[in-house]
Amino acid sequence: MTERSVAYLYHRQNKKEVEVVFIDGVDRTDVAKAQESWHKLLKDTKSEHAHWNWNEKYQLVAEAPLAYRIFGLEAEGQMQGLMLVWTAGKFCRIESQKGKPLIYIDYLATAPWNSADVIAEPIYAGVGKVLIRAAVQLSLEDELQGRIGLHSLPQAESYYRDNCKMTDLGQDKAYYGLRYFETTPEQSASFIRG
Amino acid sequence: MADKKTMTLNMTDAEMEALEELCRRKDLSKTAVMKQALRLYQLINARLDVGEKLFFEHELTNKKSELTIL
Amino acid sequence: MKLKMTKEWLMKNLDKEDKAIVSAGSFSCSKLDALDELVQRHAAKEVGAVVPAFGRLISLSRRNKGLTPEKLAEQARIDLDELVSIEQVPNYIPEPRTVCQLAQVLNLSEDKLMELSGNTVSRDQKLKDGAVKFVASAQSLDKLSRDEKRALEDFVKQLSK
Repeated sequence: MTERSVAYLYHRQNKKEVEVVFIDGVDRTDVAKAQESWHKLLKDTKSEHAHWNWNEKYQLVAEAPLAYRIFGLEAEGQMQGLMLVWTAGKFCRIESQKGKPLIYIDYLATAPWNSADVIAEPIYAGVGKVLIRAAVQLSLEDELQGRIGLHSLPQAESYYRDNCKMTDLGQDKAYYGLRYFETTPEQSASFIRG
Repeated sequence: MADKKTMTLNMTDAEMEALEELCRRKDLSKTAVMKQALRLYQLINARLDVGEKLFFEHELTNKKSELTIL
Repeated sequence: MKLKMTKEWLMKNLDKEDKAIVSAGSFSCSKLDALDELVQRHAAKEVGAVVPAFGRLISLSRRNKGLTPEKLAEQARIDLDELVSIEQVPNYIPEPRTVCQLAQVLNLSEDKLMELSGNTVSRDQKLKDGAVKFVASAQSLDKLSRDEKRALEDFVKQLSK
């Protein structure tokens, strides 16, 4: 089931905020379109998510649509960012929140034309922030007090630590050595307030 | 999104006690706990349907034990 | 779920965004995506001379660039402990993330390093033979001798094929 609502991104060249569409429940066709157009630009780059296959990730949603949800941001007929979240079965590791359920961001990516590691002049800014905000909102609506968690790809570590102010729990040896980040309810509330 | 529906659950004392304990431990309402349980149950069954198995693994000893769902 | 956000919130939080990279998720090296290539790191069977060659390669490449272990760890954003283990502990198998970070900083093939490090199964016999020769040519860990330099250059050339 798909639900659309208004969101905003910043268009760098036009230097202004643009109204875009936030999609809860991106459908298979739109995921396939995004995969095709993103992969064309990513395949010869060193981008850390160049080999992701969103069609395969969509399959998780198709098989367990309550546990997995997929969100997107659409503008100018193109998907500007995608996020797959896991809504049950992941628990906090921060000491003060240990064992409490959270929304886990399984995958999050911005379209290659928005990313500084692919293109010299990225187009839209804010994709990461808006999708993180969506994850926090989902966590609040699910009564998980805003708690979210994710494993960051190496190039994005300072973004989650310094920009989004998430707690860095260090390298996760059980998950490719990627650094794991979480938020407490207070950190999420602060993020929402801005 | 579809309108929400309400249902009534009949539970034994033991089940209610287990539910209330989970609510306390997980800092969730009864509804939230039941929703988490439903999501997990759907996810587990989806994985089992494609031939996967569900295991617990002890963090320290690495000993595995299978969870069988009938 | 309808998203609740305002333009003002976006603009307030964008000042700091600049051109940050935002990806979160599982690690993507082309080899790691193929799960049947992934070696269980604690049960690596085909270590042989391949993993020692990895440690040797990292150590010599670092010295060739004139970097201390601390400097390389800093540039690659990896733990110094792990770098020391890579260079000094025989058959130490590093984290995939560490391997990819080192590949970037030292300008080496990520896929080949994954094989050499023992994170993926190597089926390249030439690579394995090259690794054996490279390890055999190794001397001390001080300033690179001319022979060490030549061995390093030859091996790096082979990796980029």
